[in-house]
This record gives sequence, structure tokens and C-alpha cells, in this order.
Amino acid sequence: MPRRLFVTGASGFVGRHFLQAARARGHSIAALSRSLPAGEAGDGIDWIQGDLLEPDAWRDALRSDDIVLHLAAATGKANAERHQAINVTGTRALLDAAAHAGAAHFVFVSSIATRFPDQRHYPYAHAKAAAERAVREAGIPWTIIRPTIIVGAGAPVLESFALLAGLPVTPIFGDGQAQVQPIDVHDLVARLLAVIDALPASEVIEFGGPERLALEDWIGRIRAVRSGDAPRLLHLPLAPIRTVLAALEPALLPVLPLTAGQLATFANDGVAAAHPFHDTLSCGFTPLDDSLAGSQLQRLPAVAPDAATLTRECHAFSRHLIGCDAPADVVESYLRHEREHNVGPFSAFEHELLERARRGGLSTTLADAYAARVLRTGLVRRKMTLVLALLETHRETFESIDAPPAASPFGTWWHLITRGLAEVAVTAIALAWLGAAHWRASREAIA
Amino acid sequence: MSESVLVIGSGPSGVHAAATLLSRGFRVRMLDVGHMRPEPVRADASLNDLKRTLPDPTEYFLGNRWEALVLNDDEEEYYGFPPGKQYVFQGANAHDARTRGFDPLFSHAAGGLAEAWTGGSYPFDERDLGPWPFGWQELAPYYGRVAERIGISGSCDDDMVTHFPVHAGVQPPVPADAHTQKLLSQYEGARSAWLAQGARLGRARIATLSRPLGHRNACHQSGRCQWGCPTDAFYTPSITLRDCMADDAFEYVPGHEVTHLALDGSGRATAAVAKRVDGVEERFEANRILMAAGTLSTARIVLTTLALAGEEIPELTGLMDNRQVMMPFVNLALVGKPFEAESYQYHQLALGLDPGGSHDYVHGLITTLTTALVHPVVQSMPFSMKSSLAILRSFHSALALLNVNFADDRRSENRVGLERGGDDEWRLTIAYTSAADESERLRARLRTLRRLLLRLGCVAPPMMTRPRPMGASVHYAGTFPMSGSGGDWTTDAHGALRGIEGVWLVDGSSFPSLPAKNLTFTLMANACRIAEEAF
Ligand SMILES: Cc1cc2nc3c(=O)[nH]c(=O)nc-3n(C[C@H](O)[C@H](O)[C@H](O)COP(=O)(O)OP(=O)(O)OC[C@H]3O[C@@H](n4cnc5c(N)ncnc54)[C@H](O)[C@@H]3O)c2cc1C
Ligand code: SF4
Repeated sequence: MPRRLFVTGASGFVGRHFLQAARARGHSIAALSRSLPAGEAGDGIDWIQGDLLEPDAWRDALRSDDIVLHLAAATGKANAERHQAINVTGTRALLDAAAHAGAAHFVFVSSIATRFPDQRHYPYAHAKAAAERAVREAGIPWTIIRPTIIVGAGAPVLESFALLAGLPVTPIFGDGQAQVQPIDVHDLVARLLAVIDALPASEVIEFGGPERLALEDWIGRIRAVRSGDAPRLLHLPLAPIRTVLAALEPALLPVLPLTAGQLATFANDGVAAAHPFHDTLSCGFTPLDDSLAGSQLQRLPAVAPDAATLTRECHAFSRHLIGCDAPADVVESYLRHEREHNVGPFSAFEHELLERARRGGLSTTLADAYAARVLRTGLVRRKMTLVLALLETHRETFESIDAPPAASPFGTWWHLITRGLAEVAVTAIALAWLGAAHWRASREAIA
Repeated sequence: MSESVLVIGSGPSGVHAAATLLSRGFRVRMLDVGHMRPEPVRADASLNDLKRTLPDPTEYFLGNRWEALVLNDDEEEYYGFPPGKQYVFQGANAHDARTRGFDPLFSHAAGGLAEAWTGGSYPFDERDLGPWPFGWQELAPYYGRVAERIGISGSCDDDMVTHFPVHAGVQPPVPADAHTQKLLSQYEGARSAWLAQGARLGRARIATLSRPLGHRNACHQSGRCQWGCPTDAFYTPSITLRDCMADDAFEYVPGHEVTHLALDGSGRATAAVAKRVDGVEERFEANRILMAAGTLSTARIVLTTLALAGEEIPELTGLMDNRQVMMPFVNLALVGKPFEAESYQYHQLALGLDPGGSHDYVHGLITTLTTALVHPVVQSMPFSMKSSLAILRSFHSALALLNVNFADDRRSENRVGLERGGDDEWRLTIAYTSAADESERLRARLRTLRRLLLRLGCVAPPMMTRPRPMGASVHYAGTFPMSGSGGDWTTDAHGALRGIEGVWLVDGSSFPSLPAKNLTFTLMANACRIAEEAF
């Protein structure tokens, strides 16, 4: 039955997927977000711009009989105060307003981390647990959802693990045997919709995915799906690293690659407990490998770049590969392929990398080298491959691709040696520089 | 004599059985699904001419639905089929099959899988035919007859004659490209070292004309083989099909997929039952039915026949396929040299490694890299796209591929069965497990081959050597083996199926062993033999 939903955190990763699916179900939606997503006007959603901590901005948008879906949360590298403010104070404010408006059902998306036995240095888990208590005590019919690790194209946590998995040597903190049970965002959204359709039973329900596996095997799967080979694992002792990180955090939080709390995933089993509600569900599971692929273009609402941008991109890649602009026919075919295949960006960082790649010159070179190591099946490499395929079948450019790059065997060997040295240097710079950007893009959301 | 015979399938097995029957004065009706090859584009143009002069070469080479574009997320086995050959597989892989350890390819084309083959045509010798109920003497005339029909070129006096017995109808080899010539001269220098290891190198035997044959012209080095030879210098079975169609005694009935045979009370097949494209079922009465739907499809039809007759469905044992290993190598002497775009594209050299022991003969095919799409290779290299392209361009003329084929034998763990699938349709089940000692055997042979290549000045980087999954060599055989002594679900020496009367299996189903050499030439010769001798 279509309902009116009040959704917080609506422009986040789960939020975006949820809105799409909920609209398709015919629910009417009021969506709260700190920043309004671009180009969302006219999508039939009633957007409210506002901060969870400033209820005046959004309180009036709540109506009697609303179902509230509370997704907004501080995650990742926020400090303890910020976790407390957003996750606890913010949730309390929302509960107050919902009770006041006469909301019918308060659905709180929490985290499996709230019941990790080992929550050392993990303010996120503490705050989420406090928020859960507030939800139970607020007097509104409630449901608390605890998802496991959420995956799917562009999932922030997945991208961080993919980054780990893509390293030449992957650090594993501890024995890597902690169990994980990742759930695809589409599967989670389907379950959230089922919860919304059901009567509130004031219960905690945990949702996990189709497979349980050891964390290090999971990292291996990500690597296998994305680059077709196996990671080289380096086991590091967990306890001392957490202690050191925790000691450094107060001073160095903004520059640390990860926090002590985030390492809790390595120390705790993160699998969902059975619940009778699971048996009532008719929705199935996305196979794990599909969720990990990270290249399911059709799944994310693709923001197709405009023709001018694509043209620029095509020329930049052509110059990068064969040293001259792409012939007009090649550009035209490139645009046609984009139209027909809707190769849209699929994660924030891939988008950023593509942006850098299309700038031309050194920027393109670095993005290419970075993609070769870390995002081999990603957008940048795909697009360069497409440009190469078009160039090698075009009348003006095929010969330069067929011909050897130097005139003499000696010249060829010399060319290969300099090429090899350049590759090593460029790769080192790309890993250091773009690797940092990659971390920045992903860490914000690591819970 | 104008008795009619029903042939199911127009692949190499089917057309050569049909042509032989026609020459004996039988009438032949051929049932087939039969997707047709599109007309060749600009038959007189060379490959580079096409790139230079076609209005939209990208469409020709990559396909108007990007069929031949390979982007990094395609995980399937890469066969490199161009858009012009998509018809070979059209619709044929729609059947649900449950497979383990085996990735089969099917074809519903007029001409079958061999419309996309690479033409290697190697006669089995006496040793290869060891487990068969007849020997080289009995088969040799049929090799000759097929060779005269389709045109096979190669050498009859180089070192490989040890393994490739001479039969009638062999034309001189097609002109070798520069890299092939180079390898042959390098072999001359290393010959005694090779022979000491039981290894030989020589010209390939290929189904490509070096002299005109009938209405077909000799190969003129257009370099288009991979995209489909536009002049029929390269043989595919649809050529023989066309020749059959010129005969009034031949009736070709495409658009029909045979689902099963109709049996009478005594267990004799009386008709083939086929589903038309529009879903309507049709019966084709026949006294004699020759099955040539390809080993796996023939198994599907026979097993479905038994299932619908209410009989117990047997599990067929002994499915075979050649293990293939791809071993790319670099000929150091040619690094940085330009390559000939316009030369024959498939393999021109064959290699035999015979350390002794009947099962040990290893059959290698060497393809020098001439013109090919480079983007599938470049993206798979472990460097940035720019460096990968530069490296490939430097090595292009020096690159070649050794495709190593290993023999297989019938083992009881390799099974083909039939079950009801989720949609209630019958589906094949295929399970394949490699022999326990396979990996050890492979490793030893590959090590030897790598050393032999080194003697020619060629380096095969071990990390680039790659075994292909079972099923990828597309040499399926052995489900209803010929046996002199009888037994359930076997055939007699003439392919007559034991268990259902009036049915002859003329495709790979009845092979009792699978030597390392590509089997299709023998498929054709054996189909001729059965059509000549069985009745
Ligand atoms: C890429 C590639 C390269 C190859 N290279 C070589 C090579 O170099 N040398 C070599 O020896 N072999 C090669 N082969 C293998 C060769 O193509 C096969 O061995 C050969 O085609 C098998 O012939 P067939 O007649 O038994 O069956 P198929 O070729 O499978 O023909 C089956 C025929 O039966 C028809 N059919 C199927 N099911 C039905 C049905 N239910 N009802 C009616 N009709 C049906 C199909 O339409 C088709 O006409 C290659 C194969 C491939 C794919
Ligand atoms: S066999 Fe190949 S090279 Fe020869 S004519 Fe045909 S396409 Fe051209």
C-alpha cells in the first residue's frame, strides 16, 4: 500500500537507491538532505534541505501517519563528538519531532557493529547503540534494522576494501578469519520496503547477504572479480595497530588513512542473526560476485556527460594513446557508444578519476597508470579501450597502431627501455598521489 | 536406386555424408536449423583496403551492436569471433545446459561450428586409430576423397610427414608469411636438437586452396580469414552444402530443430520430429536417419527420444575434448620489425612432440600474429594502456601463438545426461573431470616446448601460458563409441546405433578415442566412410 515516507540521509548511498525503489512502488516521499542532489528537481520527491541538528528547518514537513526512515548518520572518520551529535542527538531530535507529528512507524537503520563484542576505540558503534536505545524508548512503534556490510556498485565500504584488495600487497589486520556477510544495496532496499509494508512490531531485525565468508576470503573475492587474480596478503598484528591508531587519533585524525574503530570489522564477526521476518520475504539475493563487480553500469542512475565533455575525453584519450586528436568519425562513434551503453560513472572516486583522466597530458597519464594497478575493470580503462578499438578500425589511424613505434630494432629496444622506466615512475607517482585521493573519497563513509 | 535418407545437421559431418550419399544415387533430405552466412562485403578488397575504403570500417570490424568490442569486464573465454561470424552461434546456446568442468559451444548455422573453424586438417595415423575398429588403410581413401572435395594444402615432404600420413588431394602449401619463413629457417638451425627430443616442425595442413579447385580460386593473401574469407579460398562446410543443393536429389530443410526421433513398437526410429521456428512441430518419416547434429546435440536428441518413449535415460560416459594450452611467444629476431598485414591469418606451421608412448603425442599449431584487433590484448596486459600499446606495437611482428593440443581418452567420470530443468524443458547435463595426472603431464610437456622454442630464439613467458577451459577447443567426441564387441549405447563399426534401429551416428559421437590432432578432417572422412559402406 503506498504510504507517505519521511526519509533522512536521502542523498547518501543507501538513500539514493531507496528513493528510486520507493518511488517505483508508488510511495510519496519527503526527503531530508543536507545538500540537495543536482538535477533532482521534478523527480516527484519533496526535497527538504536541512541539517538533522536544526529541526526548525524540517520539523513541519513531518505529518501524522508518516513512516519515518532514518538513514542519516555520521560514519567513518568523524570524531567521537560528531558521532555523538549526529547519531544520538540528531536521532533524538527526529524522534521528538516524529512523536509530535504522530508518525506511525519509526524505522531506524543502525549497524551490525552495535553488537560487536569488541568495540574498543569505536565511537561510531557506541553512538549507534545509544541511538538504538533512544528509538526503543521514544514511544513510537519502531523497527531497528541492522545491516551487515553493504555492497553494490559504488558502495563506499566496498570501494575502500577494493582499494585494499587492489594493492600490490594487501594488509590484513589480525588473522583475517572474522566472518562477514555482505548484502547488496538493492537487496537491502527491497527488505527495507518490506519492513515498511509490514506492521511495526518493535523489533530488531538483522539483514545479511547470501554468503558468509572469512574477511580475507572476501577481500580475495573482490580482487578476483575486479582484476581476475589473487591478492598477496600480509598479516599484521591487530591489537598493537589499534592501540597506536587510537593514541594518534586525537591529534592526527584528519590525515590518518583509517581509524582504530574501523578496524573492528577485522576483530568481530559481522553476520546477521536469523529472524522470523526473513522467512516472510519473497525477495531473493543478488549473487555476491555481481555485487562486488563495481561495474554494473545500468544499476546506478547514470549521469551521462554532455557531448562536449565526451568529445574532449575522446580527444584526450586519443592523444594519450597515439599522439593525435581522434578523427571526427571516431568521436561520433564514441558518442554513439555512450548513448547506447550509458557508460555512467559508478562511484564517486571513479568519477573523480575520469575527471582527471579527461584533462589530458600528465593528468591522463597518471589516471591511466593508476587504473592499471587499482581499477583495471573500471571506467577509465574501459573508455580508453573503447577509444583504442575505434582508432584501430579507422582509416586514418589504424596504420599508426599497426606500425612499430621505432624504425630500427635498436630504436625499438631503446623505446621499450625508456617506456618501462617511465611506466615505473608514473606508476609510483600515481599510486602515491591518486591513492591518497582514493582514500579520501572512500574513508568518509567507512563505518 | 532412389531411396531417401534423412540427414540431421549440415556441419562437416552432415554435408560430407550427404555428398557421398548423393554420389551413390540416394535421395537426401537434410534437416537443419541453418542460420545462413551473410554475403561477404567487397570480396575483392584486402583487409587494409576495407579499413581504407569502407564507409564505416568501425561497424564492419566491431559490429553495429558492438559484438566484437571487448571491454575489460567481459569475463568469458575470448574466442575473437568477428561480427560477420556471429551467425555461427546465433540462437544455439539458448538451450539451458547444466555443466560442470566443461564450457560447450553449440552452433545452429548452415555449415555448423566449422563455419568459424581455423581449417587445421590432420589425418589420424595408424597409432592414433589404435582403439578404433579399423585402421589407416580403411580410412585413407576417404581422407583422399574429402581432400579432393574441399582442397587441403600443406607439405608432403617435410619433417611432419612422420605424423601426417600422405593421402590423395594435398595441394602445395600457401605462401608463408615472413615470420613463418623465419621460424622455418630457425628450425633448420635447431633441427637436430629438436629431433633428439622427439620434436618436429613443418607446414600445417589447412583447408585453404593454394590452387584453384572447381569454381573456387586460390588464396590471394587478402588477410581477411578471421573476418570470413570472402572468396571461398578457405573451406567451410556451407560450400559443400551449396554444392549438394545444386543436385536435384537433395532437399535442404532449414528452420527446423529436431527435438527427438519417433520410435515404433519394436524400437526402430521411423521419423524425426522437429520444431519449426514458429513453434509448430513437424514429423519427417524416414527409413534411415543419419545423425550429424554435432556430438552434444546428437546426444540431446537421442536422450530426449528415450525420455519421451518412457525409457530410463542412460548417462552417457566417455565425453572427450582436447585440452588446449595457449602459449604466446616472442621471436626476438623480429622485435620492432614491421609485419605483413596482407597474408594468410590462421596457423601455417604444425609442431609434433612425440616423446614415445601412444598417448603422448602432442600436437601444436603455430599462428604468427598478422593483423588482428589489438584492443582485447592491450587491455589485458598488466601495464597502463599507453605502455601496453607501445609494447604490443614493438612486439607485434615478433608475436606468435603456439596452441598446444593434448589427446583425451574415454573415462567413466565424464558424463552427458538429460534432466528436466526449472522451466520444465529437457536440458543436457555435462560433467567433466580431467585425468588425475593431467596437470603433471601438461607441465612436463610445456616445459619441453618452452625449451624447444628457446632453441629457435623465441621466448614464451611462463605467466602468459594459459590452459583453456575444457570445452573451448570444440572437439567433442566419444558419447556413443564405435565398438566391435557391442555394449549398451555404442555403435557398430559403421556408426549404427545399438539400441535404436535405423539410426547412424556420423558425427564425433562414435569416436572411441580422441588423439591430439584436430578431429574435423577425420569427422568428414568417417562420415564419408559410413555413407559409402553402412548400407
Ligand atoms: C573457433 C573454432 C575453431 C576450430 N578450428 C578447428 C580446426 O582448426 N580444425 C578442426 O579439425 N576443427 C576445428 N574446430 C572444430 C570443428 O568446427 C568441429 O569439430 C566441427 O564443426 C564439428 O562438426 P559436426 O558436423 O559434428 O557438428 P557441428 O559443426 O556442430 O554441426 C552441427 C549441425 O547440426 C545442426 N543442428 C544442431 N542441432 C540440431 C537440431 N536439434 N536439429 C537440426 N539441426 C541441428 C546445426 O545447425 C549444424 O548445422 C573449430 C571450432 C571452432 C569453434
Ligand atoms: S584464405 Fe584468408 S588470406 Fe586467403 S583469400 Fe581467404 S581470407 Fe584472404
